Amino acid sequence: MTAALPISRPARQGNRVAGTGQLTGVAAVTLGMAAFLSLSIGSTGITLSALPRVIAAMLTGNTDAATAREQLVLIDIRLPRLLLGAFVGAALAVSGAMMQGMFRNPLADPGLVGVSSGAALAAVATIALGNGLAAPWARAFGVYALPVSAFCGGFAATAVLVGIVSRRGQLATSALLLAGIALGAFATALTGLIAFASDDRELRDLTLWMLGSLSGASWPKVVAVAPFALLVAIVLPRLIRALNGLLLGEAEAFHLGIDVERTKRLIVLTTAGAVGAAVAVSGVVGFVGIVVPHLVRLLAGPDHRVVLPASALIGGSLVLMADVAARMLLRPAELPLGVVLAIIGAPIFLHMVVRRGIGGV
Amino acid sequence: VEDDFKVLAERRTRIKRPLRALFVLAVQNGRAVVGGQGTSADAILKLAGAENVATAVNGFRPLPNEAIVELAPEAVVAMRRSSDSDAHDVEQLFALKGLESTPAAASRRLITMDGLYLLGFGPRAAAAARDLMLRLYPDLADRKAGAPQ
Repeated sequence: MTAALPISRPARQGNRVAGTGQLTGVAAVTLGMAAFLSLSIGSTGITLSALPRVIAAMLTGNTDAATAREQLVLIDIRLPRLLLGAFVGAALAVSGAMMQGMFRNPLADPGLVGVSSGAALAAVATIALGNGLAAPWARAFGVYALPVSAFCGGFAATAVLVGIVSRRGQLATSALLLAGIALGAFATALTGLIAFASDDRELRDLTLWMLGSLSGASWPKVVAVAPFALLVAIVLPRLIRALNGLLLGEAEAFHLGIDVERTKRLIVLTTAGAVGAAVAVSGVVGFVGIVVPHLVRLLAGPDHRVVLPASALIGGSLVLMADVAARMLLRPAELPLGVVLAIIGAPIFLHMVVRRGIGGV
Repeated sequence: VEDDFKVLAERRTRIKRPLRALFVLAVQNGRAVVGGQGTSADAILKLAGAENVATAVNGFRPLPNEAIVELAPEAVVAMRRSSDSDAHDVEQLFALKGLESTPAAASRRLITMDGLYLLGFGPRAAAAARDLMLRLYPDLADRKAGAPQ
């Protein structure tokens, strides 16, 4: 890997297409459109025109079979899927933006602090050992055994990483980066070991999980991720100034009066929580975390006042649109979300990098 | 074995309207993995005189909840798990949002059978298909009570 590239280089004015507020506004509109699509398209052919009927039926309590079916599809299937998709996209994109800001490395993604690989290891272990060693655990949590263990695994991996790297209360960024890569490789190896020992059915289950999907969305899952969405929303505004300071370098940020150690810990903790929750409900969804923040920086420059909110909105929109494509292209089956995201997103991103000049990060 | 299959074929002719059935292999993280075209589950459903609703997919594939609403199966067939009771399985499966509104859930028609027996396609395949058929169409069993097995 190359040495850390500075992302503090000021964006050339000519490269920007949007001002500070503009991009966030455009991103919000995009998210609204994506949400509309996500709610109105599905394999049953029920559209949003049924919504007034459904709401009326829900309020008055008298409903017939057809409306009950529409309510089930719109309110119990598509709406939680929409909310989870927006959360997953926003959480991954914002975490990616924070990681890139903290490590001052454009290749950083949320997986670097061990969350994704830890979560994957725990999830694969639950799938493969759910009927054997981990049976008591699987029975205790029932259908939620998989998301709960994915979240715990992600958090545990990050805790181990921070524990290893911390020296006298300090988190050395370069050590964190390298140890994160090593720990990720170790977790991936263990995952591979379990996969090697699995039977056909477990292999299929875990392969599908690793490719990501939102089709298991339900209201209990929305409730489960809501605290993390709230956490991110509270922490994020407090991190903007610190992240902008870190763009100049850790020493410079320190001289600007920013508590660098506290900021780094807060970033790692927020990422572990947000990404852990996202991975738990959707499986592994790559691409968003690393690409969306770059997209935003290409369009609007490196100021985190834009980068953070716009990343969240664009990340959410991207995941929602990919999810619509995933469930419509091969109706009634569906494509894995991670695959669709990369197929749609990668060419767009490549185009933008080439058009706007490489190194515009 | 040949004779068993002949008996099976003869019985299939007496089914007036094939039931629309769905084979659920597993429910993983809130979505059902179902048996589509070209699977042993598809074959055994057909042998038992049922119509597999999931033939639009190939192999065992996860199906989104909304697609299951659209398919509206009248009966669900699954493998029995040794650890849980049937009642528990019925609760878990029909709590799945996609299955909740289906005719199968309304009539609580979940048929669980031993996985190896049902899908193994060994010497007992015809017997498995017959068992499944009799559980899908109980009235067939009443009329054939005295028939040679």
